[in-house]
Amino acid sequence: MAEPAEAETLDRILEGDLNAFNDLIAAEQHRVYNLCLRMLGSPQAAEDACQEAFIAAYRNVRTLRGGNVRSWLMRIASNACIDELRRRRRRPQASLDATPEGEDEGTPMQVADPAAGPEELALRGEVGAALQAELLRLPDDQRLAVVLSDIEGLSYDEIAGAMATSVGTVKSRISRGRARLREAVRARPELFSGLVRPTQGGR
Amino acid sequence: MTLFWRRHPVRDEDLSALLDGALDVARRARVEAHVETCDACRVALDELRAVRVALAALPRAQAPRSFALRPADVEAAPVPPAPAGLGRAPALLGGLAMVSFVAFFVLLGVDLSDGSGEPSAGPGVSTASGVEEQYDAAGGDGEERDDNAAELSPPTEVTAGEEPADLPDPVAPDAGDAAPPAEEPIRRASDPDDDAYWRAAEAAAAALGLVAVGSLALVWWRRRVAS
Repeated sequence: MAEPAEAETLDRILEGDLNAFNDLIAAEQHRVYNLCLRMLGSPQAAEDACQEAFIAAYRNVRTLRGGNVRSWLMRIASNACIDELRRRRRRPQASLDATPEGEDEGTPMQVADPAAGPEELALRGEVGAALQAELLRLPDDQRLAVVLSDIEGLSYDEIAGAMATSVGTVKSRISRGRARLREAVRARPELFSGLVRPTQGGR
Repeated sequence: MTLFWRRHPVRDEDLSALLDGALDVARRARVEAHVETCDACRVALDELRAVRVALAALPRAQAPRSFALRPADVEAAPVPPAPAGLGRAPALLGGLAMVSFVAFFVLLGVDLSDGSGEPSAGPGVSTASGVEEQYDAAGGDGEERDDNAAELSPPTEVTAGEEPADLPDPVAPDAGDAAPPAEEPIRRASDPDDDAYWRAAEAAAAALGLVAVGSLALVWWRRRVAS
């Protein structure tokens, strides 16, 4: 991933240099957008949260001092997503009107990727959408931990920084989130047969 | 559960962490050794791995547009305000609270002493009406006063602690006026004067207590609002 040439760029960013900050945005916006998309499930909501996150990041640029830029940015984006989820919960019917479910879960999966292997091809359509739907059913903190870990590829340390919690808590949230997803996958073997061999037993 | 634990000395969390290479060497060896011998754990591990791989393989979306900020986005949201947040207010209020508390207990100590302590120059602040009432009820001759004062002081504290809500903004002038008690050496005053002195001292103590509690409440409230 493209890291900004930190030392010098960072100084300019900390001084509030908008151009330097926009370089950071250019380097990180796909990652931030994907996080928001996976957390919120809707392209429109993800775009709004992403914009909100970058503005908040710029306003709070002083809180970056001394930290890991990516953790810091992911933390602000995570907060923007959590805020949006709370707003939805406060007025559930309005959000249903605003973002019809079909669009929610369908659109993000239609992305063309020329270098896709067979497994990814299988995940593109129904299976990927179903997996995203299961992801959206997780509690927010577990979803966030799983997305940061398994989709964004952050380390436990970085996730702990992004979620403002301990590595132990991160470990447990990831584990519980994956365990739930595993149960969901087992419950629909016809859909996820490519993912998980139907087996007897299990713990 | 205990039996289950004995047969599976490995938790889901261990399996998940094993996938991420996040176990320390000893734990990892133990978990791997167990998985070798336990079908259920092996299946669980495989399936967890499959979930992880599937998540990683989910297609990534392109950002629908550039999120670069324009000066207009930022003008509405200037850089300093958010981090500046509380500014120096908490420190000042905290200091005010501490000074008030100290002065409060100093005055209380004067109240509880043998009655020949120095009078306070503090103005009889009107907020301590409850205290005055009780004091009036107890007003007697000079000899009883010390005991009464000792008994009555605790209610002063209670009054102070119960009323922070009545004080929307700790009034700094109160503390300013009351905090420096003039240390004029004074011979034992006659009864009416003494009575007035005690009232003033207790009222000042109560006012200081209120200022202190109010300041702390304000600090707490601003922290909450800011976060």
